[in-house]
Amino acid sequence: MRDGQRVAVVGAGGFVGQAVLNLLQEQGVHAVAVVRGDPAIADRSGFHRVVPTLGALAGAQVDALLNLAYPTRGEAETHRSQTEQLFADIGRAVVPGGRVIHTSTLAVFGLALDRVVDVGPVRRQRDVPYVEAKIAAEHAAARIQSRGGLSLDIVRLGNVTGRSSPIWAQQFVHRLLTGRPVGVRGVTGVSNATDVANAASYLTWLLLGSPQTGIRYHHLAEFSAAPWSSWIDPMASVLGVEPVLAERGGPQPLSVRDELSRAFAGFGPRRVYRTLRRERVMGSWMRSLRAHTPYRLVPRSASADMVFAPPVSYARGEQDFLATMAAQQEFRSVTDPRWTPSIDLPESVNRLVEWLAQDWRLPAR
Amino acid sequence: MIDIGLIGCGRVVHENYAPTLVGRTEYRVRYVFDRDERQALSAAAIFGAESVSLERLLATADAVVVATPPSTHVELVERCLEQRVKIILCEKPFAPSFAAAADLVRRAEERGVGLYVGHLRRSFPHLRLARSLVSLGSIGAPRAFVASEGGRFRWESVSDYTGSSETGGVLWDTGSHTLDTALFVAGLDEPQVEGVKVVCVDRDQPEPSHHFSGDFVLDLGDSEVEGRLHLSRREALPNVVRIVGSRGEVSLSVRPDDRVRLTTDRGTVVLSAGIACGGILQHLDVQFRRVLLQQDAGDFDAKRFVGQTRVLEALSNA
Repeated sequence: MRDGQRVAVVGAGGFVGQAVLNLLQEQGVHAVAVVRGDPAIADRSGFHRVVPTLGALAGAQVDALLNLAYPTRGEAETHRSQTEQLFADIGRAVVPGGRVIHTSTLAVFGLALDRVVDVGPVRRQRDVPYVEAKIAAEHAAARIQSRGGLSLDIVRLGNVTGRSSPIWAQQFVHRLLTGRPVGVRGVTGVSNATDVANAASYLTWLLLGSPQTGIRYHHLAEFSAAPWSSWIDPMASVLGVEPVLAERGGPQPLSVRDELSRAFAGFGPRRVYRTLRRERVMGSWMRSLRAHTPYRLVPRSASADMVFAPPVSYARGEQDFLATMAAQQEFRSVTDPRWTPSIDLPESVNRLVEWLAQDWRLPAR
Repeated sequence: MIDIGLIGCGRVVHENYAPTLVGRTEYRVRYVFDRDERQALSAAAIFGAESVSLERLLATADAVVVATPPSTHVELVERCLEQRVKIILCEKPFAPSFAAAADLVRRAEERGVGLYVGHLRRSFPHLRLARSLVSLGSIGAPRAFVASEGGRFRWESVSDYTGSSETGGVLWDTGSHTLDTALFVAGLDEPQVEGVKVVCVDRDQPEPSHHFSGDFVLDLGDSEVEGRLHLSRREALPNVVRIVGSRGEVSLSVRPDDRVRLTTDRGTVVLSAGIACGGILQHLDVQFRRVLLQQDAGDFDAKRFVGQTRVLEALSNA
């Protein structure tokens, strides 16, 4: 990193963002952290400059920007326009020829990695809102790169686990404690995981590196081949429980035909609609329909309590989770060979176990 | 029809109260008051209510809900008591000190007023199941508990009390819920906590803190219970409550759920309350119904939160 280089981290309040801010501080790099909410929560030490939006930079451009943000608020059909706005702001915030690192996810190939993985541009797909939003963000990033002559790195992270992971660590504790399945019997899925320490290390390393030309794609999942049991079994041991496995589970339908045949398994139109609006492809078409029609052709919100058609008895979130746990395709790391992970698998597991144990141990007087 | 007077028209009212208090046949929000007139008018439009002065609200409402920042609770509940409002439901955390909480409870009892505290988690099926298991003696006498709750904090209050008020930090704001979960399940909300010995405390800054952990010992008169509370607005924590007794333990999530794990020397088993567990708003709805219609409202009786206040005050001052 050259002297005087100005860096920004957008979406710095999240799990990975906080780890990046800590690493930057360790290296003495003051960043502009774009975070919603209380600045004192996002940056405990006051080391970085915390702003609520990129607009708060008031025209003061940065040399390098790490984007971790994506739309999470509002109706799903508005996420595309929110994404366009976000990247328009990013394009304005970076100096010409500056560096943008955009953080994406393996989910651009499906939540359970059930599409063909390619270390390159991904084409638009009909899928759940999160997947569509992440694909749209990659396209928007590529557009501002071509317009502004920026150096763009798109980093697709694997499943970000590790100490205090809000998605994986918390979910595993909850499931283990309450006897909910953490896998599918007879199926050993690959985790496609990256530890937050390594994810933050790689993103920080890229952020502080020299800009190049064009677009580069990176895949980061240094523990991709490790089964989920690498983390789950030691956590179960701390809690003194046996992990529960589901009798069935796996990939979700990828075609309209398969979705329709599942939805029409003996139920009336209202339940069919409720089912289809959560499906990957039909749900996407329904959102498009709602976004482009002035009238309420279909209800905008249905009951939050979903009842699904047999033979699938698990609720949708459960199905998605089990499909991810049973993923068979490996998301192999493709990273810059000059970078090495900061922690290995045993250390990742140790950190997670210690995180759990500290709040499970009884007070020692 | 019970006419509710709503004091405080901030975010919780707009986001959570609106879906649960509109369109009910037994009660309605008839009057609203907020020092911020825009907030009051906005809430009045949502509920079809009148935005009135505090004096008029107190003089005419059958029941009053206090949904203001915690630092104002004591003064407002006192005003309600002076006006002899029949039912007062105060949002959590109840009061900033044991003395104030005990005084309000005493005065409410003297006046025959129903004073309640809004701890909606007491409607969660798994909390009620776990409490039943403990009260039936499944784990023996409670001896210790650990409770954690943490995650990225996204709540943006209109008044910013969560970042500026001594009783707005993670200890009072989230911790009152987390601690109450443990005390309610362990049955420690009825034999009142007589004293608190703080063993150690770690916080990121003076209150309002955003990260807090503390070990303490509850003095119950004839026995002691050790406790640990770990709270964070930055870091995801396991978010579980574990209560250990002389013969076993129960553990449960702090989230809405229907399941509890019971472990004894005979093994471990997951039990279900057998009730579909809805979301937060459904439980808020249940809380309002139980308090306003006086149906099984005892779980929310303010006297059962005095001990909790003593613990929070001790930890806050440590």
